[in-house]
Amino acid sequence: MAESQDATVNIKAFHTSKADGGEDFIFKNAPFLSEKGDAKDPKWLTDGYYLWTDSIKFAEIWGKNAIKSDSGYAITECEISLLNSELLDLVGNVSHQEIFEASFKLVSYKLQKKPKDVIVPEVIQYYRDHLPDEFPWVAIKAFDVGDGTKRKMAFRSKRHDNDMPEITYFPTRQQICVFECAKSKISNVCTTIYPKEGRSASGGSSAKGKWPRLKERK
Amino acid sequence: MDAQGKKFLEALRQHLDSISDDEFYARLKKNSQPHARGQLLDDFLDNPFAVDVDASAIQYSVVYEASGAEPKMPANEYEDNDEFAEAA
Repeated sequence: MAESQDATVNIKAFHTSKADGGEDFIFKNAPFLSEKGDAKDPKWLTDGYYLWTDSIKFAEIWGKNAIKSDSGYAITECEISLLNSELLDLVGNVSHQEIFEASFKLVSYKLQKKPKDVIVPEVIQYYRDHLPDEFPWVAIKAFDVGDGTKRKMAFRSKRHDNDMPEITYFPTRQQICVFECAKSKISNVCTTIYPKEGRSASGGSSAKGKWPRLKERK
Repeated sequence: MDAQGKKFLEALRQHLDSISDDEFYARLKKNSQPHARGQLLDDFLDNPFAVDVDASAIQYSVVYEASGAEPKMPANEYEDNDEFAEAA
C-alpha cells in the first residue's frame, strides 16, 4: 500500500552533547542547536538539531570520541514525530534520493565552468536560503559511508578476476537534522550522563552512567 | 517522485535559469572558504556511481575465495572504531 504523504513518522533518536550543567539541565534543554561550522568543518546537513537514529550506538561513539569536556558527555533519547511531507529521507526513501540526485545534477550542470568543489551542506544551505518556499522539508535524514563503516560484505562470490560483487554496508551511520523551526517535533524521553574515562562513576552529582555497553560485547 | 519533489526541482531549475553562473557560484560559496575537495561534482556528473565504489569493500569475499576458509575476524572486530569520529 502506498504510504500516505501526510502520515506521521515516529523516529527514535539519540542526541549527544557535553554533560555540562548536569542531567536535569540537559534533559530540560536538549537537544542543542548545531549552527554553521567553519569552512573546514561545515555542518553536514546545515544548521539544526542533530540526532543519531534508531540505536544509541553512534551516539555513544560520538560522545566518546568527539565530545571534549571534563564533565563527560550526555545522551538524550528523543522521539521525533514528523509528517511524511516534512522529512527528506535520504536513507529509506528512494524517491527522496532521486529528488536529491536530480537537484545535484541541475547544480552540476550550472557549475560546468566552475570549480567542482561543492559539498553537500553548501547545496542544502543554498536550497534553504534561496528556495525557502519550495524546499518544504524541516528535517533531513542521511547516512554516510566512510572510514567508520566497518562491516562490508558481498552478496555473492566473484565470477572472474575483474568482477566486483555487489556489496552491502552495515551498520550505516544515520543521522537526522531537524531544523530549528521544527524543534517542537522533538520530545525528550531520558538523559544519561557518561563520565570521562577514568573518572569515578560516583565522583560527581551527575555522574550516573558507566562507559558504554559496547565494551561489554567482547 | 512525488508532487512535492517535482515542485522543488522545477523551482530549482527556474531559479538556476534566472541567475548567472558566477552569481550562483558566489552565493553557493558565500559561507565557505576554498577547500581541497574538488572533483566531487565532476565524478557525480560523469558517473553517479563512481563515488560509491570502494574496491576495498570486497576484501572479505576476496579473502574467502583465495583461502577457501572463513575470513579471520580481526581481534578488535567487536570493538568500535575510534577513528571515524575524527573523520566526521
